[in-house]
Amino acid sequence: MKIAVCSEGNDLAAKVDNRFGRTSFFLVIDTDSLDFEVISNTENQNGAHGSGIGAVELIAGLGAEAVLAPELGPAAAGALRIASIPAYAAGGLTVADAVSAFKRGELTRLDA
Amino acid sequence: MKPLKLAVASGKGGTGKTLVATNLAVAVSRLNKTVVLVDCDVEAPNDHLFFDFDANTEVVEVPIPEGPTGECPRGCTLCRDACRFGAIRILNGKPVVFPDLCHNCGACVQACTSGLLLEVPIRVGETRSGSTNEGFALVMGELDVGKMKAPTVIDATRSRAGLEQAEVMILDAPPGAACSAVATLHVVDFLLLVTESTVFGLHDLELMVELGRGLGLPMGVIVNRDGSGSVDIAAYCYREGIPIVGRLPFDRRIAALYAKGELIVNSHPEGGEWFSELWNSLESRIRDAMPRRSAV
Repeated sequence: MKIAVCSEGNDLAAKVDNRFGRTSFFLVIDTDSLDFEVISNTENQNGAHGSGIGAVELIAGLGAEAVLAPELGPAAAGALRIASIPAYAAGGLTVADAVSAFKRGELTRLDA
Repeated sequence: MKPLKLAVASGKGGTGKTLVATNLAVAVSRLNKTVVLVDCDVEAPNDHLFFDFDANTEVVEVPIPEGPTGECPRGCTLCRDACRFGAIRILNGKPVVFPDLCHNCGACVQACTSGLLLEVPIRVGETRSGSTNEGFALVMGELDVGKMKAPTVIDATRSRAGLEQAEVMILDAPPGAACSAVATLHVVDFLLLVTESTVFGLHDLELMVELGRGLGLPMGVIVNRDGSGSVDIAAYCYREGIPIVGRLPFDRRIAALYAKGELIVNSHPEGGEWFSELWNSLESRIRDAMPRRSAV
């Protein structure tokens, strides 16, 4: 499946970013092949308001079926609900470790 | 005759805006001028607590987009692209409105070439208007809890106050120098800044002076709780060329009366004198300054 992961850097060795709406990058990853795309989140990082909502729009538009994030603000959580995209807690891990943990079902839901 | 509009503001909260605005309104009214007191602190209005006030309420509403009323063309993002505020987004191929970000401009509705968006009114607060037991009009606004649109309710309150056609309009501003203060202060004839002789008082006075200059307003300062605090407000005002138009002494009796919801002009032996003197000090300054303000 296709998932989005908040990332500080542009490869799988990077750490999961410590924010969702203003994350530096989203890595959109195929969990089977581990092929991935690097999406810059500059527009939402620089926006004064609505960055969480903008980030949801961004990853929903890319077809992400789940997102791995450190934590979520209320506006982002609401938008993810509308977009039907579940979020999982992955703070403090590298992107690669977060994806492995997600595949093993070890990550908890952020928005239960 | 054009009404004289005096705004009472301060940077720091709790310096005495409402104390000054309410008592000054009574004092001016007793000089046989028609007065309207306008409580623009719509997040925490309290002027009405000092009067008996029979109010007529009107709801304040803003238009919010709703829809789509049919199928959107695939891949269309016209509404989303028209919005400067990120308040309408495309999720699952449909526009979704985020009301707290919406500035009610209607651009998205205009931009939709399929005509699938419409505007519906939603309530954000109310205004209340009526006579007080002191014989002048009070107009106040109140923002609904959980809503963000303070300036909208402030604009509605000022419009409603304008209908009173009083000779003198006294506006009690919300604290601070942000959107709510600007909505209250723009296009008034004089800005009376309430301060106190403390470090915070001076710091926040400086922010208000900067705002007042940005809005092109003639200004004066009244020092409240004069005699307490160690900061030299007079030295600052002198350097900046801003007149000190009055001082209220640090007097526990004032605080005690205020806490009981009483007017200083009624219940303190010197109250009437303080506020009629304040008005004398202000009136000629304001009239002198008025021709320099361009009409809107």
